Amino acid sequence: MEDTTIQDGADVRAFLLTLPDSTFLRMYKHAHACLGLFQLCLDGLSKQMVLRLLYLPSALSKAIVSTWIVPEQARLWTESLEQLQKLQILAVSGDGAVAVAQPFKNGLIAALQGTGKERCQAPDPGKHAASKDFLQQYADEKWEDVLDYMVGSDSLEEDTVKQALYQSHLMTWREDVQDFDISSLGFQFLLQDRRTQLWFYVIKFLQTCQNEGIDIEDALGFVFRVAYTTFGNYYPTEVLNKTEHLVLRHFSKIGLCYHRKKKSKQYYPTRLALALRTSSALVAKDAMRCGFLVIETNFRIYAYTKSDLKISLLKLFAKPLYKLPTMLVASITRSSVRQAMAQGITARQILHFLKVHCSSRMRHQPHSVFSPVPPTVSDQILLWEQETSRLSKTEGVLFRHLPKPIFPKLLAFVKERQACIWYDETKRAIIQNNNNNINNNNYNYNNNYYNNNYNNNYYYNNYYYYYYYYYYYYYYYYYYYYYYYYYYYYYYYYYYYYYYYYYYYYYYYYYYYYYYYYYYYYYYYYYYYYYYYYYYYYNYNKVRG
Amino acid sequence: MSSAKSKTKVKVKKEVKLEEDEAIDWAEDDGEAEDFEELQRREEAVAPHDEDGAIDMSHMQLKPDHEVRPIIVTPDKRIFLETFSPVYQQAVEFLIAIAEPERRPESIHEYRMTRDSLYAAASLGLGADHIIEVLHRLSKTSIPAVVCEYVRHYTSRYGKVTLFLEKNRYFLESSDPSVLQTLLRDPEIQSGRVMQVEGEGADADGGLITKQVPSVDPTKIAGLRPAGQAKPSSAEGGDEELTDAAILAATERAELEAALPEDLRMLLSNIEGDVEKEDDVDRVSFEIKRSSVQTIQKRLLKDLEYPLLLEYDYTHDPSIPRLDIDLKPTCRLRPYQEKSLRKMFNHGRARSGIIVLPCGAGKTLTGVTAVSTIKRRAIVLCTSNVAVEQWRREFVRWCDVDHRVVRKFTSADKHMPPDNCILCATYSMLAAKQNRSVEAKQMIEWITGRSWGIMILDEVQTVPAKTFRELLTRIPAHCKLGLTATLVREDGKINDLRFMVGPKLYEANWIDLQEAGYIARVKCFEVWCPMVQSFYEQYWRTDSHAQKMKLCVCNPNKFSACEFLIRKHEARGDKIIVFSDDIFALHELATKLNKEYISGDTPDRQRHEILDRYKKRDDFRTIFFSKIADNAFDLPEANVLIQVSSQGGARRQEAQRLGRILRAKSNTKTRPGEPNAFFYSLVSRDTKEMAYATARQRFLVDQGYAFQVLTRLVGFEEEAKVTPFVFDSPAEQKQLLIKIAESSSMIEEARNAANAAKKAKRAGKSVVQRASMDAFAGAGDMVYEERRVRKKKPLRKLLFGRRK
Repeated sequence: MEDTTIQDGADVRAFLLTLPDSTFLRMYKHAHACLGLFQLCLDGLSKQMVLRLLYLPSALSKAIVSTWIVPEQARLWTESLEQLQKLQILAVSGDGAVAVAQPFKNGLIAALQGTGKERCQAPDPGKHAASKDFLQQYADEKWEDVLDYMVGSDSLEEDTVKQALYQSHLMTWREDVQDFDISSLGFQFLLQDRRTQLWFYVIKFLQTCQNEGIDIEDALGFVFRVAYTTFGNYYPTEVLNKTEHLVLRHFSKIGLCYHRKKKSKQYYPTRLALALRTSSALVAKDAMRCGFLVIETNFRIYAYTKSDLKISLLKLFAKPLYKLPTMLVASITRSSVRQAMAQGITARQILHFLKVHCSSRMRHQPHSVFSPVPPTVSDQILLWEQETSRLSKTEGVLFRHLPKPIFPKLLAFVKERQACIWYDETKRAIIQNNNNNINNNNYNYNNNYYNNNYNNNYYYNNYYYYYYYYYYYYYYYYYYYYYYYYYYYYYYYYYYYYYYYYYYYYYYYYYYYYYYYYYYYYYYYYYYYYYYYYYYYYNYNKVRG
Repeated sequence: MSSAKSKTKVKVKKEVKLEEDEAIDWAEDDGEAEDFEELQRREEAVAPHDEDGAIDMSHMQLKPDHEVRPIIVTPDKRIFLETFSPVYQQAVEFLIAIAEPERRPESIHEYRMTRDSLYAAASLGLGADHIIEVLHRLSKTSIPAVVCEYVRHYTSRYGKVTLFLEKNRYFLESSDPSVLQTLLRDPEIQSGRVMQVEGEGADADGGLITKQVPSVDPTKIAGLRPAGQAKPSSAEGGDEELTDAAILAATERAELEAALPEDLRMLLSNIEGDVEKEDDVDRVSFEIKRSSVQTIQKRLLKDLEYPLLLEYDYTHDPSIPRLDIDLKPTCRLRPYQEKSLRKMFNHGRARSGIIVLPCGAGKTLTGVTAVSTIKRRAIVLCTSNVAVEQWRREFVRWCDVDHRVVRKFTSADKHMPPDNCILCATYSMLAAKQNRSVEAKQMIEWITGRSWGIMILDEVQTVPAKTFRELLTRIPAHCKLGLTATLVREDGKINDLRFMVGPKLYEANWIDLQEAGYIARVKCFEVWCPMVQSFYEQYWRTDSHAQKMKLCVCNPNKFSACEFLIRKHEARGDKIIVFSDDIFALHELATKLNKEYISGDTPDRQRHEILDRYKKRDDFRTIFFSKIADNAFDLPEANVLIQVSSQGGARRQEAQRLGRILRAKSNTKTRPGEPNAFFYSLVSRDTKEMAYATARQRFLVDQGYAFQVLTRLVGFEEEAKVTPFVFDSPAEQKQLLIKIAESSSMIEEARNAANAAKKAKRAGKSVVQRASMDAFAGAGDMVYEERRVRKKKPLRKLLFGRRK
C-alpha cells in the first residue's frame, strides 16, 4: 500500500477495473455511472464500437462487426472485446452475435437523453439559494482546509474526513504526540494538481466504503451523478437513498457539494465536482490553477503567495531565504531536494508541481513550449534524483578460471538465459545472477544435495547448475570430488540423453572434456597458459613498437 | 613540455605568472568580511531569521498600489527588482548606481547595497535623501529604518571630499565647508597644506577658497551630442523607421505609464535630473602639497574614513599639452557606452573609476572615446602583447589621429615615443624590475617621469595582484579608468580597487545587451563525459593531485566528445575555438586531430600568422588555445567554444572565455531569438572537475546564463560507428595513459632517485641507478644546447633588518 504512488491511486480506470464483476450489473442501474464508465474506462476503439452498437435493435454477428476493423488492428479489437465482456457492457451470445448488454444500454441511453430520476425537480430553496461565487468560495475553502490540516493547521473539524485521510494512508498516527501526522504519501499528495488529489481521495473513500460493507454501486453511482451535474443548479435530495445521503454528507465536508443542513432538500455541486469528469489520461485545463511561481535559471524560486499551505509545500524541496510581504524567496539546492527525496517525493512530482504553478509573469522563452520550468532546473533536479540510484545491487555468483574451450559456449548459454551480469574473456570469468532463469535453489550444493525433494522438476531444474559447478570445483577440488562427480554425471548422462535430448549437445561436451581433462589436465593447462602469455606479449610489443 | 628550452620560454613564464597570481583557492570568497561583522549583528537584531532560516518580513505593510511598484528592500540591504514592471528601465538605472547587482536572471533581479556601492553612488552626486526618496517611491513597502540609517551613514562619509588637479596643483575640495574644517584639525593634513597667499580668493573662514561651479553642463563627450538634446542613438544607423509593432509597444507603454501613481510618474522624468542638480552649489577647497598627496590620501581613507575622489579638470590643464585626437564622425556609440561615459565625465571634469561591460560589448571603444574626450597624453595597460596590438589598432581605426602618436611599449618595440603620445603597454613590461634592458629602463624612467592625462587599465581585476599593485602609484596619472567584464577575483582583493582606481561607475546587464542584440546569444552546455575505466582506476590509485587532474583532463571520452562536437559544428559551417589549460592535453588533442594550436610556446610572429589565417580563411575552422587566449584575443568570427580543461574554480576564466564568442555575430544564419553561439564545457564525470565546473559557473549563472547539462550527446554513437573517433581505440587510450603515467612519474622518479643518491652518499655507499641505455647515453629526452650561465650575486643576509 505504501509504495503506490498518487498517480496510480488516482487512476479511476484502474480502480473500476478492479471491482468484482457482479458490481457492474448493479451499478448500471445508475445512468450516470454508465456514462462515467463509458467516458473514463473505455479506450477509443471500444467507445466507437459501443456507440455503433448502442442503438441497434438486434445483435450483430461477430463477422460483420470485425469488418469494421482494419485487419492489422484485429488483435486490438479482440482484446477490447474481452474487456468489454468482462465489464458486462457487450454481450456475446452462443452463436457469436454481439450486442450491448441490456442494463448498460438502458443506463447509457438514459444518461445521453437525460431521462430518469435525475430529471426530478428539487423544491425551490428560497432565501437560502447559493450563488455561483458563493459555491466557488465554499469549495475552495473546504478543500484548502483539508490540505491545510495535512500540513499541520487546526482548520479541520470533521472527524470523518480525518478518518478518511488516515485510512487512505495520507496521514499516519504518531504515538509520541498522540496525533495524526502527514505521511510521505501525504507529501506526494500535496504536490499533485487538484484533479488528481480529488480522484485519489474519492477512490480511497470508495474503497473504504467497500471494506465497511457500504453499497459501492450506489456510492459510485452518486459520484458520477455529481460529476455530471451542472454547476450552479441545485438538485433534490429526496431521490437519494441512505448510501447516497452518506456520501453527500461526506462530500459536502470536503467541498465537493454544498448541502446546507442535514435536512435541506436540495444540494449544489461545486466546481470541484466537475473536475471528476475527466479521467487521469486527459490533462484538463485546470480552471482552479493560479500560477504563482517564478523560477529562475539560477535555482531561485520567487513565490507570489501568502498561503501557508503553498509555502509549506515549497518548503518540502526548497530552502526559504526571505519571506517578503508579497512573496517568498527560496532556492532549490541539492540538499533541499535530497531531503525531499528522503521523504519519498520523486523528482517528477516536484517538476509537475513547478510546472503546474508556473506564473505567466515569467518571460516567455523559446525553449519553454513544453514546460515553463527552465530546463537547467528541471534537468538538475532529475540528475539529483539519478544520483541516488546510480549504484544498484544484484546478487550473483562468480565463476573463475573456466577452461578455455568451454568458455564461449558457457557464456553463450548463460547469456541466452539472460543470467549473465558480467564476464571477462581474458580472465575467463563469469558472474551469473541469482534469479530464477537458471534455477538455483541449491546453490549451496553441499547443504542441499541430500535433503532435496525429488520432485518432477528436480533434474530439469538443477541440471545446469551441476554443469557449471562441475568446472568450478574441478580446478580447486579436483582430487576430492573426482569420484563423486564422475559417478553423478555418468549416471545422468544417459538419463538426459533419452528424455532431454534437447540438451544432448551440452552433455556431450562435458562428458568429453571430462575425460580429456582427466588425462591431459596438466598438459593442457600449461599449454594454454603459455599460449596466453605469448599472445599477450606479442600484442603488447606490437602496440609499443 | 617540449624539450627545447628556447628564449621564448622565458617570455611565457612572465605571462603565465600573471595568471598564477590569481590561482588561489576558489572556495574562499570572504569579500568584505572585515569590519562588517558588527553591522551583520545589527542586521540580525533587526531582521531575525525564523525557524526555516529565512528572514521574515512578511508583517510589513504593503502600499495599496504596490502592484505597480517594482522593488522590495529588505533590512539586510537586499533589493528585489521585478523586471516585468513598467518602470523597470528607470529603476534599473537607479539601482545600478546605488547597489551591486548580485543576480540578474530573467524575471527578478537581486541587488545589494554595500559600503562601496553607496560610496560610488555618493561619488556620482546622489545624496542620501535623494536615494531614500527614490527607493521609497519605487518600493512596495516602506523602507526599513536600518537601511535608511545605513544609506545616511555611508553617503555622508563618502564622496564628500574630492582631490582634484588643476593647473598642476592638487586641491582638496568639498561642497560642505564643515567637512574641510574637521579635516584641517588633523595634524597630518594640516602639515601637508599649502597656505594661500592673501587676496587670491581667500575666504574669511580659515582661508578656504570658494567658487561656483557652473550649473550648465559644459561636458562634451567625443562623438556624442550634449546631454540636453541627446537622443539615444540606436545600435545601427540611428534613424530607423518605426514599425507597427514598435508603435504598438510604445502606445502600450504609454498606457501603462498613464496608469502609474502620480509620484512614480514624476520620478520617471526626474531620476537623472535630480542627480545633475546636486552639483549646482558652491564648492570650497584648499590646496595641498604635491609631495604629501599620497600620505593624505591614505590618512583620509584609513583613519578619517573620508576617501578621496580623484577628479581631473582636463579642459583647463596647462601642464600637459593637448593631443590632437578626435573620434571619426562615422563612429557611433551604443547607448550603454554613452551612459557609462556620462557617468565618467561631468561638469568638464573626469572621474576615476571602473566601467564593467561584458566581453565583446565594446570596452575598447569606450576607452578610446574616453581618451579622445580628455585629449591629453594617455597610457593604456593591458595583459598581453596581443591586446597591446589590438588597442593600438583600435585607436587608429576609430580616431582621427596621427598614427605615429599611438605607440607600443613591448619587449619587441622599445622605441622612444614622441613626448605627446598614446602609449600601449603590458602590465608585466612595466612591473618587472630585474633583468631589464637599457632601453626598457630608460623607457620606464621616461614614463614615470611625466604626468599622464589618463591611464586606462584593461582587465582591471588583475591590478590588485602583488606584482602590479605599486604600478599605479609609480605612474602619475590624473585620471584612471578601469575596464573589465568580470569584476571578480577568487581572493577577495577586489575591494582594493576601490581606493587603487576608484568606484564602479557603471555595470551593464549581460542579458539586456543580449536581448538588444549587442552581444551574441549564447547557449551554454556542460557535457558530462564518463571516465574511461582504465583512467578511472588510475585516478583512484594515484595520490598526486596533479596526476589526478591530468587523468580527468585527458579522459579519452572527453576527447571523443570534443572531436564529435568539432565535426558537428564544422559541418554546420561554424568557427570553433577549443580551450585547454593543460598543455599536454592541448598538444595531444590538437596533433591527433590535425589542428593548429597556439600556446605560450608559440612565437609571437607565428601566433599572428595563425590568427590571421583563422580570421581570413574559410576552410580554417578550428583552432586550439591554451589559457593565454583567455582574454584580449579578439576573434569576432568564432561562435563555438569548447572547453576541455580549465583552471580550478575560477569564475573569471569561465566568463572571459565565454567572452571570446560573445561579440555580436554579423553573419547570422539563425532566426532572431535563437542562440547563435555555443559554449561547451566538457567535464569528466565523478571527478573533481564536477565541483570545479559548478564553482566556475557561479558568475555567469548570476548574470542570467543557464548551463544545460548533457549526459549524452545526440548522435554520438551513430557518428562513432561511421567514423570512429581517434581516442576511441584501446590502443590510443593505452598509449595516452602510459604517456600520462610517464610524464608525472618521471618527475617523481627523478626526485626519488636524487633523494636516494643523497642518502647513499651520506652513508658512503655506491648508488645503483636503473635506466635505459639511451638515457645513459644522453639520447633520452635531452637536447644539446650551449648557454651561458649568469651567476647571481648571493643575497646578503640582513642581520638587523634593512637600514633606513
